[in-house]
Amino acid sequence: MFSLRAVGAAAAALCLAAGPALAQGQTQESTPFVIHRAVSAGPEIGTEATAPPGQPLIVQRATSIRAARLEADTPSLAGFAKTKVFTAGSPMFGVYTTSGWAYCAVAETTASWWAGDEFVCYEDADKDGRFETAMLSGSPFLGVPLFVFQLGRRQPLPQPAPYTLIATEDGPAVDYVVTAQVQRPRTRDAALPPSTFVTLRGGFRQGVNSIPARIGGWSKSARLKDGEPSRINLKGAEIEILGVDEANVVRYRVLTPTPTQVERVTMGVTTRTTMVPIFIPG
Amino acid sequence: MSLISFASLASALALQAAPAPAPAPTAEPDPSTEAAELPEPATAPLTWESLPEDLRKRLEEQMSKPEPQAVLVVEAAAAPDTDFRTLDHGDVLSEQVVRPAAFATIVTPARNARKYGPAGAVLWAGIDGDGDWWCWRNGDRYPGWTRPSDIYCYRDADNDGKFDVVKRNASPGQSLGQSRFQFTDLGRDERLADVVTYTSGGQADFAEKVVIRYDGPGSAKVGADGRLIDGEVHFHLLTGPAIARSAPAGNLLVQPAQTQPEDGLDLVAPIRVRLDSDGRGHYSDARGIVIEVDRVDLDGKARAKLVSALPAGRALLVAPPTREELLQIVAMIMRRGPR
Repeated sequence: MFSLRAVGAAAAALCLAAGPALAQGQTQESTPFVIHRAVSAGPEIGTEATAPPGQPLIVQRATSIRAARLEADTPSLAGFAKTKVFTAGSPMFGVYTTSGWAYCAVAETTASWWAGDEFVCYEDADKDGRFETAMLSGSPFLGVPLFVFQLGRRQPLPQPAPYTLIATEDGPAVDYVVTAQVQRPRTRDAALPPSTFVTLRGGFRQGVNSIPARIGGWSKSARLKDGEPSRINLKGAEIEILGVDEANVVRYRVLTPTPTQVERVTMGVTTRTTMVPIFIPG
Repeated sequence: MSLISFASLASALALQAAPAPAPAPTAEPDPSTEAAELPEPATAPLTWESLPEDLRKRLEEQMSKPEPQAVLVVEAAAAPDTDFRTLDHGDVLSEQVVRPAAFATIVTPARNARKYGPAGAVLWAGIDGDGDWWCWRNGDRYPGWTRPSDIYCYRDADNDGKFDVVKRNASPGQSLGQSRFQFTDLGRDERLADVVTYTSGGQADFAEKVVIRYDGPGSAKVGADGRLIDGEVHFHLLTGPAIARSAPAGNLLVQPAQTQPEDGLDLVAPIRVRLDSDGRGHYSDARGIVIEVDRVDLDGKARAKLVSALPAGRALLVAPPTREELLQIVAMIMRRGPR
């Protein structure tokens, strides 16, 4: 089970083993990233728009707080059926190491039907402007090419690769999307009119065709009263819900997009092992 | 917060479940309530005053007692910074040497001396809510051991020269696993029948480092000139032998999970510095650590100053939980509901 949670000052979650199942959790804080105010896709500020179920209400960009660019063609050292070389000019996003930074690019798969993308992260340990090592760091967490769960083993590059740091907003970006979910919980008393609730959730996705990975804790709900618009503030974004129809298409207006802010999330992986007793006769 | 305190807090709440205000999420909202939120529980944040009286008393008791840990003595205070300096992720703000504050020696050991400590074994000082403890672990093959050995802590409650309780921490690797003598959990009662006697005094050359290292921004808004405001910036309080070790190599059959080299330090606690609307922050805590932050840029670099690290002398690294931390745990337990 994979999850993304907002980082707060909360205590670490604990997993208690009960019965024959054993759950073990591993968490990792992400490197801080920036959600940029500029809107990539969405209605003009203040104009009315509709969003069928699943379509985001607003799309903005998120980048890591640090970015770099390769200055020469660099081998990726990635495995079979993945991009072998990153060309000069490829942008990379910064990721925390224990005592410094690594910069990662996604080695895209060339055989997407059986192999996935993989992060390749480069490190410049002596800070001389050239990467000496590469680390194959797993596949993008929940498909978002910004979250590196664990850096891989260090492998030396055949020759150092020069790079330069670039501005935060020029680094590789993922989409930050706000989606709406409509709920109509049933009331016990049939005479009362059913109430409608709209929950806005923030999440990240790689591109237009990807399903967003939602962040636990980045959500706000409001109850809709007949005919009255309802305002929801999600992480500084002010969105006014004007109405919902039977097909759960949401009519809304964006008053303020998400203001530029720095955030971090916690990536969690829970492994559950279930012991199943097998009866062997004889 | 240690595992034990969380478990005791959970049991404390289980006893208090009935009278406590429980903002449980409702699937069928009352139509008469105005602007009810669904599916999250009630948005009114839990405050200290809203907790029931006896729960507050128990939590305050827990806050006033020390957490289980080794008692340290800091060799020297760190020189404070004269001016702000620029820090990037991973830069060290201060580094100090710590040793155990006191030692004792076993006179008459338990029968299984290899497990519980032989005659003449040197014990170092530990502490928890109950009082003073004297701790030992089998240090064979340190620092090359494959996993840290169990820590046994003895307590002489009535001061008669004989230990009355022995507790065993069977999973020291879960927290401060690289340290030779530091821990955050005493573990479980061994129910040892043997009588073990001791004398105070002893000598062992355990020296480790306490490091304050800059981590980076938490969540924050971005101000007009690109500096971060109204948010948090994080430092890490770390301790350990600080001996760098390269990543384990593994072979064709076995690939170790840990692929990064160790820097020999474990995280004790994050230091969260709140940034105000000007982007400045000031942090001070009961340990004596005082840090000032002048600005944090969007790329994560910070201008900060160490005003004071741990003062020289006796020190406890693991601080008892603050009111805010306990409130968050209470809120989390209430959200999850009764189990």
